[in-house]
Amino acid sequence: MTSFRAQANLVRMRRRSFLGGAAGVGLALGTGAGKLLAGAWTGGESPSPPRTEARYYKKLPGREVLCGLCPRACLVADKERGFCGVRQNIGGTYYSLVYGKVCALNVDPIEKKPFFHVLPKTDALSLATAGCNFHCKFCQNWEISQSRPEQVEATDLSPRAAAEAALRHGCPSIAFTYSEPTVFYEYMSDTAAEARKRGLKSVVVSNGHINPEPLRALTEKVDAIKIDLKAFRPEFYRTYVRGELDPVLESIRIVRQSGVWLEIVYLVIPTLNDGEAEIRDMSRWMAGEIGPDVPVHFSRFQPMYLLKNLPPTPVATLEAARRTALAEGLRYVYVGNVPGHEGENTYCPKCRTAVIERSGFEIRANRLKGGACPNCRTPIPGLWA
Amino acid sequence: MPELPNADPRLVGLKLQPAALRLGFLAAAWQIFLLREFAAQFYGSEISFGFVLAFWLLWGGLGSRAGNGRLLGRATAEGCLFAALIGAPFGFALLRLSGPALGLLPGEVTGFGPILLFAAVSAGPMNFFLGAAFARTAAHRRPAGAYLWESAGAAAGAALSYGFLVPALPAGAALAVIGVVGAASSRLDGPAARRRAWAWAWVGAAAWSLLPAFLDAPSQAVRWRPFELVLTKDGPSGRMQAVRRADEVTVYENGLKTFAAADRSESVESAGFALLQRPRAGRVLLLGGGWAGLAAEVLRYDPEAVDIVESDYAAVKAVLPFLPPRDRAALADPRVHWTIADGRRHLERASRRYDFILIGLPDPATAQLNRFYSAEFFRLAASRLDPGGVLSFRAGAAENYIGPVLARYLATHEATLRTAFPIVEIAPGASAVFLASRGPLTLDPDRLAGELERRDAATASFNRAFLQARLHPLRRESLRTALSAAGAAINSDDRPISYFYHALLWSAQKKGPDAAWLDRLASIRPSVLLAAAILPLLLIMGASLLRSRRGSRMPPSYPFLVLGLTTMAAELLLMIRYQTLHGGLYGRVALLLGLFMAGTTAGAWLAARIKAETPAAILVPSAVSFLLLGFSALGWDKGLGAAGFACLFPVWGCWGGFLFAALSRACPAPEGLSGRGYAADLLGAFAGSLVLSAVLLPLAGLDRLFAALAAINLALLGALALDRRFRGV
Ligand code: SF4
Repeated sequence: MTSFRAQANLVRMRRRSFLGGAAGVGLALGTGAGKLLAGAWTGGESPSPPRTEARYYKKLPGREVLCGLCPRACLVADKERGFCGVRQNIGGTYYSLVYGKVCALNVDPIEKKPFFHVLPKTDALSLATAGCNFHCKFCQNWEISQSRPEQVEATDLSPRAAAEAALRHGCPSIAFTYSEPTVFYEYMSDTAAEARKRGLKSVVVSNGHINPEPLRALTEKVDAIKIDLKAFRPEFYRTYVRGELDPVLESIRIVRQSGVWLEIVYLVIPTLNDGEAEIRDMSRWMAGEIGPDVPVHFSRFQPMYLLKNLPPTPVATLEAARRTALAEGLRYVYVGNVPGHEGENTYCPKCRTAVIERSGFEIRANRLKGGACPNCRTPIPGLWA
Repeated sequence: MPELPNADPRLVGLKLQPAALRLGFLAAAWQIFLLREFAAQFYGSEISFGFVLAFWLLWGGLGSRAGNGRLLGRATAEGCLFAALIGAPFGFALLRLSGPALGLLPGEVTGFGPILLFAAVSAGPMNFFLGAAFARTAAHRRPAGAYLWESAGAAAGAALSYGFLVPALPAGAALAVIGVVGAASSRLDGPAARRRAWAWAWVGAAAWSLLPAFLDAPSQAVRWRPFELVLTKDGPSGRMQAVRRADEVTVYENGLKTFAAADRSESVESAGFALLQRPRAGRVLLLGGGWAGLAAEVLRYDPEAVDIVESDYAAVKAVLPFLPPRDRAALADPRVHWTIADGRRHLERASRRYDFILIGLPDPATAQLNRFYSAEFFRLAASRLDPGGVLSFRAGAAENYIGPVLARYLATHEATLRTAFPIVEIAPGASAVFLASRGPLTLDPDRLAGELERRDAATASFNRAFLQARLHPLRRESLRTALSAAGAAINSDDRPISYFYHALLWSAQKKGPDAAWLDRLASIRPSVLLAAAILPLLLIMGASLLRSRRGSRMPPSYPFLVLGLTTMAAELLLMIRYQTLHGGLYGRVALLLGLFMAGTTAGAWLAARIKAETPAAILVPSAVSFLLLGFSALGWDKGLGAAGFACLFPVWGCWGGFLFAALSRACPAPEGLSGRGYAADLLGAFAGSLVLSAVLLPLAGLDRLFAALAAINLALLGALALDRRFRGV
C-alpha cells in the first residue's frame, strides 16, 4: 500500500484530557493547545501518535505485513498505513494508532443507535476513534470516519476509564459507534472486557466489513451488534461505499450464529437502493439465512456529507419497504428516523399488540412482561434486562 | 477589453462599426448568462463569479492573440464569429451537464476544483472566438473606434439582458435570443458580396443558436434524474427548483436544499428552541424559510403575529402549490403577514419591535446569505427586538464530533453574535441552533421540556426525550470546549469571514488539496496576505523604473497591469459590496455590468474626443482612481443608497475605458510586440479576479482590499510621475 504514506500536510493533533466533574457530569472533553502545522509550513515535525500492536495480521518478508482484520486485506509496507488510515506498519510490526484515542464521546439513548430490542429507554455511553474501512458518500460522521488519527482532536481514555465513565453517567451499556469500530478493534475488545467486569453491556454499531476470525472473537466479548446493510447489490457497495457486499452478509450470518443479539439497519437512500426488488431480495435472504426474528430498521436517509442536497427519503418509500419485508415473513420491521410513525413500535408477531410504543427517542409504553407479549405470552426476542 | 491590433492608436473613429457593436453585445449578454448559470449551478457562490470573469478574460485574450497571429490561419472575422455562435450552445451544455459529466449524483456537492474547471472550459467556446473575431474585425477598421463601439454593444447587451431577457425568459431561451440576434444582424451587415457568401451560414448559426432553448428543460431534468423535476424558476435571488419523489417535494435554491417535505426537523428545532425561551410567543419575524415549514412550526406556539419577509415572492409563489397542506394552511393563517422585501431593508424600516426574529436561511454559503450573519446585521436585529427578545438561526454542524474547521466556523457565529447580544446559547446537533438575547436564555432540557408540555406543543420528534438527548450536558460541554479552543473571528459585511469558513468546511469534505491550502491561508494574517499580493506589483514597477532610469525607451507595461487589476478588482469588489448592502445581485448583475460597460464606452469616447495623450491625461485618472478607492476604503460608499451605489459602476467603467485608451496611446507597443500592454492588462485582471474572489476578499475584507488597491494606485501614480518615458508623451 503506497497510497497511505503518512501525509502530514495538515496535522492537528490536540491532546485532550478528561476533566472530572465539568458541568456537573463528571466528564468533559478539554482541549489543549498543541496545534502543529506540518512540514514546509512551519518547519516543524509532526507528532507520532502513540501506538499499540495490532491483532490479526501476518508478518511477511521484507518488513511487510498483511492485515487480517477486515476483508480489504491490506498489504502494508514498512512505514505505510492500511486503507483505514489508523493502522501502521513500523519496522515490520503492525500497530493500531487509535487505541484509547477517543474523538467522540456522548451519552445517547440506545434507541438512537438504533437498538430497539436492547435495554429500552436506557442510555449508552457512545464513543469512537478516527477511521473507517469504507468511504460512504453519505456518512453522517465523515469528520472522524474519513480522517486519520492526527487529523482529529482526540483524548486518551483507557478501556477502564471508559467503563467507569459509563457507570458514572448511569449508562448500562457502552456503544462503539459513529465511525467504524472494526478499525479500533483492539480498543473495542479490551473496553468491552472491562465493561463486562463491571456488569455493563457492550453494543457495536458496525458496517460488518470484518473478517470471520476477529468477528467470532469479538462476539465472545460484546452483547449486541447492529450491522448497517447499506444495500443488497454489490455494485452499490463498490460505487458508493468502496466495499464489498458478500463479506457483510457473511458477518451477519456469523453474528446470528454466535447468539449475540443482532439488529440490521438498511438506510434507504432515494433512487440508490430503494427499489422494491432489492428490498424483497434482502428480506428473503434475511428470512432464509438468519431467520425472521432479527429486527430490521428501514431508516430514512437524511442528506449528509457529499449527498447533502439529495432529497430525504419519502415516508411512503419506507412504508413500502416495511410492507415488503413483513410480507416476506420478517417479524420485527421498523421505520427509522420518522418520529411518531407507527413503524417505530414493536408489535407482537402473533396477536399484533403494540408491546413497545415509541416516538423518536421517547418510549411511550413498554408493555413487555418478562420479555413476552402481555396479551398472548409470545416471547419477544431481545436483551430486555 | 479585447486586444487592439498593432495599428496607429491615434486613429480614432466614431463612425458606427456594427461588427464591433455586435461583438460587444454578444460578449456582454453571454457573460451575464454565464455568470447567472454558474451561480445557479454552483450554489450561488460569488466566488464562482470571480472564476468566471477571470477565465472569460483569459479566453477573450487568447482569442484576440490568436486573431492577431497565425493560429487561426486565414479565418475571417465572419468565420470567427460563426465559430463563437456555434460554440455558445456548447458552453451552455457543458455547464448544464457538469454534474453528470463529473459523475455526480443529484444533490451531490462539488469542491472548488470542479467549479474552477468548468469556469475554465465553459467560457472557452464562446469567448475565444469572440476575441479572435474582434481582433480580425478591428484589424480592418479604426481600432480605438472599434473598442468604443464594442463597449457600446456590451452596454446594449447588458441592458437588453436586464430589461427583457432575464425577467422574461428562461436561461436557455434567452441564450437562443442572443445567438439569433448575433446571427441575424451578421446576415444584414457588411458588403453585399460577403452577405451573399455567408447568408446560409448565418441562417444555420441562427438555427443552431435555438438549441439552448430546447435543451433548457431537459438539461435540468437530466441533472435531477431519476427524481422528477416539477418546477424550475429563475428569480432575483437565484434559480428555484422543486423535485418530487413518491409525492414528497424537495425545494432547492441555486442547488441548495431549502425545504424538504420529508424532513421538517430543522424548522421544528429552529422554532422550538427559540420560542420556548419566553412564556409567550408575541410578535415573530421570519427572515427566509417562512414558507418552508417555519411558519407552520411557529404557529404551534400560538404567536400574536408572524411576519414573513421574502425577497423573491414570484419564486415562492411558484413553489406554494407543491407544499404540504399544513404549510399552505399556515401561510393562509390570519396571524401571518407577508412582506415582499429584502430582509435587511425590512428591518431597517421596521417601526414595530419583535419578540423573536428567526432567520430561516441556509448557511452563509454566499455573500448574499452572509449579510444575514454579520455583526452589522445582528446589531440591526438587536435594535428591532424587544429588550427580552430573542434572535435565532441554525447552522450546519455535526452531532457527534466538532472538528477544528467546523469549530472555527461555529465559534465565528458565536463571537459575531456576541458583538450585539450579551447572552448567546447554542443547542448542539447536526444543525446547531444559535440563540441570542439581552435577556436570559436556557438550554436546560428539563426547563424547556416543562415549558413545551405546559404549552401543549410537544410533538413526536420534539419532546422531552429528544431534548434530554440533544441537550445532554456532555454533548453541550463538548461543543463548548471545541468552540472555546477554536480561533473565532468576527464576521462582518466588510469581511465576510463566515462565508470563507463555510467554503473551507465545504472543501474539507472533499479532502482535496484546496482544503489544505485554504486552511493554511486562513491562518495567515490578512495584512501579510495583502502585503504578499502587493509586493510583486511594487517590484515590477520598481524594476521598470530602474530600466527607465537606465535610459530604456521600451514603453512600460506595468500601468496596464495595474489598470487591469484595478478595473477587475473594483468591479468585483463593488459587486460584492452591492450584494452585501442591498442584496439581489443575481437579478441585477446584468444591470450593473451594463452600467459598467456603458461607462467604459463613455470613457473610450471621451479619450477619443479630447487630447488624451498628455501626461495629465494619464496622471489625473490615476489620481482619480486613488480617490475613488479611498472613498470606498473609508466606507463612504455605504451611505449612497442602492441607486447611488449603482452609479459607481459607470464611473469605474469610464475610468477604465478612458485610461486604457490614453495609456494605449502613451505607450504604443513597438513593432513586433503587438498587444504587450493588453497582455499585461489581461494578466492583471485575470490574476486579480482569481486571487480576490477565492482568497483575499473574505480573509482581508472589502475595506482593506479597497485600501490596498488605493495604495497600489498611489504607487502607480508615483511611478508614472517618476518614469522618464512618460515625461515626453
Ligand atoms: S482494518 Fe481493513 S482497511 Fe484497515 S488496515 Fe486492516 S485490512 Fe486494511
